[in-house]
Amino acid sequence: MKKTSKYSLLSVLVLLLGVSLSTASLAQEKKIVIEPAEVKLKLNEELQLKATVYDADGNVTQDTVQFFSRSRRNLGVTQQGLVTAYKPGSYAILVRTIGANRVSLNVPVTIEYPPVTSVKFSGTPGNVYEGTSFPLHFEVMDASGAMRDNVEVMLTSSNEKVATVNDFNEIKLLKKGNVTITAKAEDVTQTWKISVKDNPTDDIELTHNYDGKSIRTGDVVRFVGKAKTSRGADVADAPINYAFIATPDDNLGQGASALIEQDGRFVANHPGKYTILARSGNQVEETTIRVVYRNVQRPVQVVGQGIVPDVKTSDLWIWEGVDGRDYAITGTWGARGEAFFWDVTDPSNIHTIDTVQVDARTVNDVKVSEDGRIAVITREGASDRKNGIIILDVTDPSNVKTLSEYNKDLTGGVHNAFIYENHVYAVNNGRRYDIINIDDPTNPTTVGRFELDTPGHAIHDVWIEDGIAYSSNWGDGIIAVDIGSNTSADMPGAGGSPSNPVPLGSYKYPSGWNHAAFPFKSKSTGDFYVAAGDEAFPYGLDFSGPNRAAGYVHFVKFDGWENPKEVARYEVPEAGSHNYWIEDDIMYAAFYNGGLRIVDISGELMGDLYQQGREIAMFLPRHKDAAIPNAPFTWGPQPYKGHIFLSDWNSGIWAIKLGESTSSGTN
Amino acid sequence: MRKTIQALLVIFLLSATQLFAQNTNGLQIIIEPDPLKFNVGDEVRLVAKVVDSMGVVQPDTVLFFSRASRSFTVTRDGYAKALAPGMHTVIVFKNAQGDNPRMRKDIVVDVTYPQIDRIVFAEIPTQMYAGTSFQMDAKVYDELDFLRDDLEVTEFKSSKTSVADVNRFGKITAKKKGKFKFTATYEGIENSFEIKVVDNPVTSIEVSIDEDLARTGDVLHISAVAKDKKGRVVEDAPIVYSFTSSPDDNLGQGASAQIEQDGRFVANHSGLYTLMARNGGSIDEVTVKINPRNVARDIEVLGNGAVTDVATSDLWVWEGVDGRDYAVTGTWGAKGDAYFWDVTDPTNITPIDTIRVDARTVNDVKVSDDGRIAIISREGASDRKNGLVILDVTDPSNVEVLSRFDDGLTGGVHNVFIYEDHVYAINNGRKYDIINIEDPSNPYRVSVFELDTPGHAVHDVWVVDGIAYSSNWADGVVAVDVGGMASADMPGAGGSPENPVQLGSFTYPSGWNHAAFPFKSESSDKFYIAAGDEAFPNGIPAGWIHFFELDNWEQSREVARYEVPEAGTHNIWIKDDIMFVAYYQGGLRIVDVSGELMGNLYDQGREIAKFLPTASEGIAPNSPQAWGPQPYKDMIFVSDMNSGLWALRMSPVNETASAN
Repeated sequence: MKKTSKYSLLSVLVLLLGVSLSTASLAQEKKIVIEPAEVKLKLNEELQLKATVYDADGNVTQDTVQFFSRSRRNLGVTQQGLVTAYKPGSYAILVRTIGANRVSLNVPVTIEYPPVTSVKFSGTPGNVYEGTSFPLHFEVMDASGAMRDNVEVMLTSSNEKVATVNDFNEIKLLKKGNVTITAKAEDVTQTWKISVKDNPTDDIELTHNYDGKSIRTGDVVRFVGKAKTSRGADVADAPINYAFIATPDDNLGQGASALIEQDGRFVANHPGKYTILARSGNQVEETTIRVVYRNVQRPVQVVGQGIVPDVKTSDLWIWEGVDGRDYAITGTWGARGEAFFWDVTDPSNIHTIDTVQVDARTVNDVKVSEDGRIAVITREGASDRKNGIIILDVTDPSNVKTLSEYNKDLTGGVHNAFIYENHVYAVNNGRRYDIINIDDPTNPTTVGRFELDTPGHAIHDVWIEDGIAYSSNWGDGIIAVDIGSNTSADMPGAGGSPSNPVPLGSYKYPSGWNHAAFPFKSKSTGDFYVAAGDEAFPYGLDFSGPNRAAGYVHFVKFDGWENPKEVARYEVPEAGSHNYWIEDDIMYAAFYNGGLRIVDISGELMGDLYQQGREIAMFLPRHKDAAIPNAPFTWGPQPYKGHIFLSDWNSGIWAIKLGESTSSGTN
Repeated sequence: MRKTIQALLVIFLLSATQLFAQNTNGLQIIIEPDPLKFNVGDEVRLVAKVVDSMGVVQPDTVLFFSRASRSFTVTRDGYAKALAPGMHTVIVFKNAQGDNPRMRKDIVVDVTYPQIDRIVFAEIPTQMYAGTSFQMDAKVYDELDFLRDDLEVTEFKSSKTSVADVNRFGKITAKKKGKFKFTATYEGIENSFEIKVVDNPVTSIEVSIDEDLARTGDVLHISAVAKDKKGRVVEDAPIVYSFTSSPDDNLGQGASAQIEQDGRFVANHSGLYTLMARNGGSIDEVTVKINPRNVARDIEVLGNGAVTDVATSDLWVWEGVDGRDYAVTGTWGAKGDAYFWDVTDPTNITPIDTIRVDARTVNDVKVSDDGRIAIISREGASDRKNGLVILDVTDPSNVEVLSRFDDGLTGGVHNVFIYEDHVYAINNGRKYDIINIEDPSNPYRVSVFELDTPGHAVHDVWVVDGIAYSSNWADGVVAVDVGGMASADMPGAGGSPENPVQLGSFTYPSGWNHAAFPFKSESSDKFYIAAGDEAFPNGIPAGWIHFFELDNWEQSREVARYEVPEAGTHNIWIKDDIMFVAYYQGGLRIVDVSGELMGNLYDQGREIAKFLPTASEGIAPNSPQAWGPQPYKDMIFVSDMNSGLWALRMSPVNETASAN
């Protein structure tokens, strides 16, 4: 399933090394000088940097230097110092010597923005009514053809008795009449001539989709305000603003209780009464709803565990063996290249039954075929640099046999893999995924490959559902690719196949932390979502102690492949997401130091689900005999036959079970 | 200082549940009367018998404990009084006696609710303006004048819906001029009154706001003036406030801001907010920009005085008479040690002396202002003579016991405070004794302060400017004048150590009050009491810091909180508008509490820094359990149950706040 981290673990390591180098005392003795001293580039410009190393006496040394971009998606640089400007902004290049007595230097680089060439009002209404107000939007283009959202647009009104504009680009229509609004961005201007009309709205009809139904925290209520004339006719183009007044049951210094979007969607975090207002001009209609506590909590019980006391555990897979018994496989991280096989038929007595050791430091991912006969494990850090994948016969999990080692073009390391219809999808060196036919598992062959063409692209994981591969690509976000979509797919395919992968759609988000993806069709609403998970370690990583991660799960709703919208998140404070699994509108999410979270994701999703009482249960795997004692760092979950299995970096494998709800419930 | 009696009780009960779910040799506990159903005010004797499988009564002694002593009191030998209606739990417990094992039984007593008597309205409008609304607050009372908080009136009626509508929550919307009768009904009981609706004179609203550029966490005040068509102010026009938000991050982010109906607004997230004031069809609005608060600072670990074989309790750091810096830390559930440390060089925290007393727990440690006297508290003494021990710490490398004081304190002293030659000692969790130590070799009690509420308990006491702030679980924070001074932020009432005089009290529903710290905000001039919880639901620390804003001792509002999710508060210290709070498993938190406070400060980007103290070995490796903080000179010291004493320093402010 979705996995690891090592990509970013490695990044952290590199960063730490870099920091320690740059602060080394040897900098007193040697220094790097860059020419030109100030690096300012225009978009797409190339520039060869020259680095000279001087010793303490000012003599040029023979050191070889290498150049690295700190932001390679925006600023490219070859190891020899040829810089390419991809995107305007301020970045840095790391220059360092190699060999003994290293020194390093950070070189700031500015890529200048091209001048603005046009500014246009966008989304302006046809009719503009007295008494209304709304934000104005613009499309600002620069000479490179890029749409700019970082240019200040200045607005002026030709007649402030008719309309005013404020510093925040909002317009307020005061009375009937003519007015011209001028927008200025840099030296470019555009005008919008408005004829403000009488507001025909005499009444607002306010309805919602929970009429007569109980509303719980986390339920998304859709309010619809319709502006009407005095004769009852619709005023379809009257702008409606939505707001609310909260009267939460707990009013003793509690935090913010709810949110409403300007399309009328409302969701509450706290139980209480809420009065929703719909307004157009001076017409306001309101309605009050009561929101009750969601009451989905359930107790969780530890059924069993397999403590791994000496090495770090990576991913897991649970499956029913050909003998009808239940088995698990777990990988190991930064250790001796082992994968452990466990009998979990009795989850209260999880015990090892076999170990496979390969030439690797990390067996990051482990997967088993649907028929329970073939396992694939990944290799990174092999002593001979021949990484790739190992294909195992797990027909008898007590006596696992290696069928083949496959490392053709995979020597850079395989971080994650997925088995789907006799093909292995192997994430290759963090750059692309290779599609490998294993009809004959002793003789695998590469049949296809998928790689992005964006600058500095990287990929972390891939997961396949109904013939569509969902890969996780850090700054490029989630990418859906048709590799043989079938009729049960929730979204249409495009005729792809393993040998001809065809991209369908994608969604990326600002942090660039996309590490996992899980598609699901909501059982309760029929909506199609992809849950996109982060991985990030902004606080660094200590390999011998407890750690803290960051990041969350982003919920992206797709109305067609072309229309993704990030509508909700699940963010555990002070912890960070890793792998997760969604089944029957329940999300099982490993949140590193936040342990395992089991979350009700039924119904429409909006806002931060963590705040909405949707958490069914949490579990912090901690054990005094673990590799790192008492320090949960949960890697991945798998719901399986009424239990939930999870692997934990610091402690091993666990089986837990949800109990029945003890609350009376409100739904 | 503050701590853990409740914790101990909870742990005891939790473990007891498991412990006693064992073989009872066919014995069972039978309670009389059966059923346990009483009326409020009933006084009864509960009787418990232990019988064997043949029904033969055993000679075992059985004890009673109430789990709701404020609602149903019971003495150990079963004399009980029903104080408040509801279902309450009483624990029946027996020790192992002879061959019979320990046993426990939880029984539920049902104190019957009296008959419902009447509906009471908090406020009755006699006149409303057309187009405006009014939210009725209808409460149900019973025959014994108990407010029935558990009942909600949901049946409301307007006699003339063309004049006014009422919704099922009791909100009246006046539509046009006329009269109507408003009626609220609950299970056959009703209350009603007549309201006149008059034409609304308001034709315009003018809003103003104190700032239109602010930071997350800054409390803004929107005020609105309603005017008639001649421009005259309509003083009694009701105004409702609301807002729309455009946070900078609109990709599935949670709730961004909140507004109160008195016009106070605070945002969690940066972005644009449009605040609206409305009366009927008259509306005005103002847009504000909220920037990130940008108060985060780096924190540097200077040193650790590791204690990993026993649990560490409280700390005190002081400048010794020799000008060097010292610390004392207590120990918990162990051998009765207090450790003395030289912390002059915080990067080299060095143990310099140990005092061992007959106790399992030295929960609290305090040093006098002049750095000469220390007091340590004793609990769990082998001879059950607990109390406190007074030490000479003039030479902290050679600490000497000056006296032991256990007169009337044998139940155990959990926390103490030294103030002007008196020790305020929490006595058996019930009251605090005030002990004169002018001659530390001959301490003597001068008075006692104890509440008179049913089932009262006290956990800690802290004295500032002659006012003692005690923390009393369900009775909240109680302020007592013990010699109020002119420098006190609020007026005293002529109290003294010999004559403590209660000034006010501040309670909240959970009943988890465990610590209190008063402070006058340096930036807003408001006077607050920070009231900290301690609680262990399911054995895991929970709770938060409650901020009460006081107008005077009688008038206060709980306006804000600081709640770290999934962690629980312990001790707090506030200095220069910065709060240092030990948050057990959440470690040390350093929080900007400047300006007016509203909502959950945790959500508002007010956290300056945090630190998770851990040890890699010992009783609980990798398990922060921060106990107490103390800002000292330019450092912060913190004690942690599982790792000992830490010294930290915050980096200078490294970012310019975006506004303000």
